[in-house]
Amino acid sequence: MRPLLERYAPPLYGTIILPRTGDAATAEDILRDTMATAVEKIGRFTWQGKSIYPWLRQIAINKVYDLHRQSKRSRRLADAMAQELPQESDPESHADAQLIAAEDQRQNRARITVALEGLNERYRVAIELRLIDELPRDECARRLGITVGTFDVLLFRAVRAFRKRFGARAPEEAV
Amino acid sequence: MTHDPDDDDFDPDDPISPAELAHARGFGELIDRAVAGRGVPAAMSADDRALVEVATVIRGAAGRIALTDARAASIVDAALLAAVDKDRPRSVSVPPPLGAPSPPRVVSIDAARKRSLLPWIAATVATAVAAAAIAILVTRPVRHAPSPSVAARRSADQLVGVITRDRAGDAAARIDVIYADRLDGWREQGLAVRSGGTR
Repeated sequence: MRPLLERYAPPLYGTIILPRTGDAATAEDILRDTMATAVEKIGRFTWQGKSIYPWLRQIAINKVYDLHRQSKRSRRLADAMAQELPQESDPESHADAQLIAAEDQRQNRARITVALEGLNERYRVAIELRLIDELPRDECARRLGITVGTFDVLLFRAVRAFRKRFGARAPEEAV
Repeated sequence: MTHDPDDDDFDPDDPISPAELAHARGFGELIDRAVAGRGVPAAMSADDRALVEVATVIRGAAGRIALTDARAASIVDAALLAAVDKDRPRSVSVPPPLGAPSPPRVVSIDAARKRSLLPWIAATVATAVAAAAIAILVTRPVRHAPSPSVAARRSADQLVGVITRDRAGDAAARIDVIYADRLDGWREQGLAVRSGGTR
């Protein structure tokens, strides 16, 4: 079972868990719990000619829900992501793990894009340059024609605005 | 007038307060660390943590954060251990990848409490052993070494007599006689002590 788990750990982490927790250490803990639960309950898995990935994916999603339920955190961003989980496409309708992971990735990008489009143009550019393209701060500042200090403030305000806008898409009482 | 942090309408001409500049610079350095894969400090303000999480969500959704093969293998190892040994606490941290800085180790309160008792337990045991040793030393029967005066109660002159000139070369024989006499004295002394007699 180890090869299967090692194969599916990266897509579970990158497309399901991390985008819904925002914290690498927490995401790794959830991934480990997901794997442990899968090993413990492998007897319940029924082979239906499909990949085991949808089953692992559902366990991971449940773990993310559990995290928010147990901690009762009011992080609007995480809640916003969790709120959208039930609206996602049925993983059973997919046949291949890579397709599912790619679809999850596409949906994650779409959510971010929608939120970015609602921001001030300069905020959007700052976030894209620094967090999506991962350019160094001085390069970001150079491209925007501002000092590094001003870019720091621009990014700081941009992330705050993104958080406010993205979190506002979900009800406060989410999860 | 300074910029309202919650206001979406950013105007580059808005003055930046020194406090906001310092805060933004600190946040920029946190993002530097995260982008470089060096992780973020465990201790930071709730506001900074929330913003770093937002940045992580954006980067994660953009596919910028991937789990390395080595890290995935470590997590799977930890999961298999946890599944096999169900008593193993799930909160045990996944070992960090090679070369990565070690995260601060979190110790449970119970474990820390038990660990703090260890020096006291060790000191108590050591004190008990020392007290027992002293008691044994005080109460054991004492065997006194024989007094030199007893061993030498007979003079050598009495044993070997006057040494004439023609027997001057028999010193070895005279030494044997004296040694045998002293040995007898030591044996008598030892037998007297064992039988409870006096010296």
